Amino acid sequence: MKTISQLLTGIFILFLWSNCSKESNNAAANSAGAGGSTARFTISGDYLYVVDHTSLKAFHISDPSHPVFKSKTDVGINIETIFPYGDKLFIGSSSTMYIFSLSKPDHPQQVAKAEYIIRMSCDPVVANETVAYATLRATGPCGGSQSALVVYNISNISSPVLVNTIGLGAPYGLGMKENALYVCEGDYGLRVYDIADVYRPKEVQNINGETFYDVIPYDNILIAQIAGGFALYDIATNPLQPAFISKILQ
Amino acid sequence: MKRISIIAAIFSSLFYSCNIDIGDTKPPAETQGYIPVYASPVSAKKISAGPPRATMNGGKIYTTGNLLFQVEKDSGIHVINYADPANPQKLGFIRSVLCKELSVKNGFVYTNNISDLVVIDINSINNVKEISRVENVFPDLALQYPAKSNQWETIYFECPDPSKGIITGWELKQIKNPKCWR
Repeated sequence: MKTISQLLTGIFILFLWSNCSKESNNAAANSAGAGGSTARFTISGDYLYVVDHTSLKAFHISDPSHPVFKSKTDVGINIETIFPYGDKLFIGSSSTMYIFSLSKPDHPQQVAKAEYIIRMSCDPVVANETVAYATLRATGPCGGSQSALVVYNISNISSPVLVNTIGLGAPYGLGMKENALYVCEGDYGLRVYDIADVYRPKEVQNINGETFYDVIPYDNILIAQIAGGFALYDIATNPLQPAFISKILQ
Repeated sequence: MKRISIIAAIFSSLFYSCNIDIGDTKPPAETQGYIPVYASPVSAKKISAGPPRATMNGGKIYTTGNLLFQVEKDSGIHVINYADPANPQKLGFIRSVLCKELSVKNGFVYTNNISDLVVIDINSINNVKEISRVENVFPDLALQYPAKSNQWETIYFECPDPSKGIITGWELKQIKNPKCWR
């Protein structure tokens, strides 16, 4: 009896999963999805870009069964995160934000770097055409003296200008959708900023009760990596007012 | 002559502070320390899929279509369907030792297995399998030493012995005369 129920459960799981892979094929036919801001590799077009502690590596993946290594570019030290936007890559290190152009996707070219005044912090970056936001966390293994959200004007992509610094508790990943910027602050919650004025984020609320590490704003859903698992929020009606939907903690 | 004595003074002060450093970090005879957990290369590099499992130490996330992928730190990837966001369903688990990173495109999962980049085909559930591997893309993920919780602490550990296999984790234990520390 037990074996039969185990078998049925197994078949059910297989059924669910085979359903899911079909869906994933349909929904994501020729595109990659979205990752969090603290990722160390990302897919852009037919390329996979990987950062290790010191360098950026490019792999051509049009044939997934034969990833082809294309280039390795020395970037700096303590490289931590990579974030794609359009034909650019934003790379965060413990002391610097680097911007790379993908006009030659085989071999990304550095177009700018902005050194933080605050050294030795963990620092994911998100960006669009005109603005880049980075969080600098001074606690934990990265050390440093001050945690902050920093705002760069990148209208001139080759020379980012620091336009704002907002003191924070312990920021981790971040994400943005339309006029909303989400900043994960670990035990201090998820801060939501109105970025109608992109260079002057205005905090509109702080969601508490979970330990927030990273977010992906994906269409109508905000996916949050929290301690123990993940949580989903509805951001369809108002991105500035994420509404809790569900979470999986085990 | 004066210049030489200044240089000598600088040198001796360097040497002096160096001595103090050595004195400070001399390992204790017995202490809490880390012991490597070894696996055979065949076992540590085996990619496989199975039924859902509990999230113990949820890591990085990635989404495409209605699927959410969450790293289970150091052991693999949870695959979750959230077509109904009010009721997300775990579909399965992909095992990859020391997993920390992932991206997904066209039904292919890109992740790390120890320090290797692996591509896993999840298009057919009956045949979830590794389809390619590039070795040593992430040399810093190979766990040559246990992680420190902050940059100031000193941690002691049993020195890795590559002849015993691949290190897949560290166990905190009472250890005697540690030869390695950082």
